[in-house]
Amino acid sequence: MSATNHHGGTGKPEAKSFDEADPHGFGKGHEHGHIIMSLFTLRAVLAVLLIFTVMTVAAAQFELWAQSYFDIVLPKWVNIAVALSIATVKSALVLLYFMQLRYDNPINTIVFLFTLFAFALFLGFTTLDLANRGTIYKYKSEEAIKGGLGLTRHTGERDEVTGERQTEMVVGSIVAHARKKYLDELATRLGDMELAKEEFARQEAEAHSHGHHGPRVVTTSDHNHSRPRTGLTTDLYDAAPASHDAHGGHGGGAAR
Amino acid sequence: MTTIPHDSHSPHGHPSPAPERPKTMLWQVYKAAHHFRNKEEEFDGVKLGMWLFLATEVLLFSGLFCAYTIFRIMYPQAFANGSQYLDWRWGGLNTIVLLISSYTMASGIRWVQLQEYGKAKFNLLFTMFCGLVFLIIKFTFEYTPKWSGYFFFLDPALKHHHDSGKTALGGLFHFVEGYGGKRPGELFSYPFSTDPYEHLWWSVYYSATGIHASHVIIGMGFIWWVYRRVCKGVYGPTHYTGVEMSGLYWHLVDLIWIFLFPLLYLIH
Repeated sequence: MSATNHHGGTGKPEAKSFDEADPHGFGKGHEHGHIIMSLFTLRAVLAVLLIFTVMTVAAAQFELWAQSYFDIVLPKWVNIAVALSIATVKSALVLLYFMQLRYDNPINTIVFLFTLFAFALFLGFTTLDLANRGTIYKYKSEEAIKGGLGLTRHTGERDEVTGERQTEMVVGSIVAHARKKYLDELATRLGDMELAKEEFARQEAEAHSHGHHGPRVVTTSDHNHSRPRTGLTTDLYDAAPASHDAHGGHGGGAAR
Repeated sequence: MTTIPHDSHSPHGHPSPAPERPKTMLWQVYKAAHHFRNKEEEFDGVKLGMWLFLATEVLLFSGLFCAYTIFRIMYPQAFANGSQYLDWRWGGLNTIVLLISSYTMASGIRWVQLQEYGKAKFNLLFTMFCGLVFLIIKFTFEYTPKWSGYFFFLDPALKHHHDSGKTALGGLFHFVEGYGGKRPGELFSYPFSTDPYEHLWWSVYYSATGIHASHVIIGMGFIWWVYRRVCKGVYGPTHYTGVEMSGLYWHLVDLIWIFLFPLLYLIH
């Protein structure tokens, strides 16, 4: 608390007149001062916020770099813990100085902390059983289709006569469906399935190869690490994870 | 709020160097609403109300963060892949833009308190400008190509792609085949995904950033309103409630982005 924030109503019973409209004398005192932030504080806070932004990006890049070039794999939680710690420090600075909670009536801080408590409740109780959901759903896993309903989907077009929304069958997941649909579209346009497959492979290689994010990590994921796997992989839609090389070819992923 | 008549210029613009009567500004004659004892009490009450409103805003976003957490735990590969489609450089630039705008907002309040209205107005305008830059980056370089496959012709990412030759809006946007379709849920049609749950990632991405972007727009509206009132002389050292409250709103928008940026752009 700043020195300017003292309560006017404490310990000063001005007995000479009793104001019925203000029995506790709150109206007389300045409840707490209007804080004028110094430019130095504001600029220092901004500088620290920018430095922390660079740090959080650098930490994420460092992890990718260590993985790609030296095959040093940091545990998955490091990525999340570092990112969220930095974000928490940054948000605390914004709350304390830009939003002036540090100098403010404590009731506002209490309101905010209570909100965080409510958020923690939501998060805690909804994730509580996450680890067990696989077990619960196992008995019907044979019929389940990964990532989709296996039903119909609106195409976005309407029937010319009736005006009804057109639907199409989605066999398998929406992702696999998008893949197959685009290949068919290319085949129709190019007039030949082989040509279409070549064009598909060319575009897929382009989509995944341009140098946005540095070298690709080609190692596959395990239960401890999720590796980005946007390269040319073929065995994603198989029921069991295949053990052969992920670079073994292209095309026809959905058809198998 | 106030109905005090206010003569902004003294007897009809004669440039006579007569000693100017000190101009009464609206904030000097501001009186608190009748159910408050004084201006300080009104300020505190309004501020508490604002924090209660911000609490509901945090709870709105907490639902999205919950969805994010659950889906990321369930489908980590889809999230790792999905994040790879985002460019951290755009996200990082937008983070810097929002942080700077938070600084200019805070100093805007400071200059109003010190009656430096020129500086205050500049800072408020600059804050709105930052919000506009944020939205332009978000919509032109991030949403549009991912949703539709159309790149803005100045987009540096365009040179990495094979230009299909198809353009829109008089050549402003260039179509890249097989790039678009990164859409939420059923709208998804990107052909080269490698995880069967990637459309779920896009659902979370568009809901979170879309609701955040709408807050940027609303915040800019508040700041514009406050800017106009600063021009009219409504705010000053003893009355600046509106500036303070739109500042709080703007900082909250910044606060949300501080968490969205690493959670969406920097995961792997």
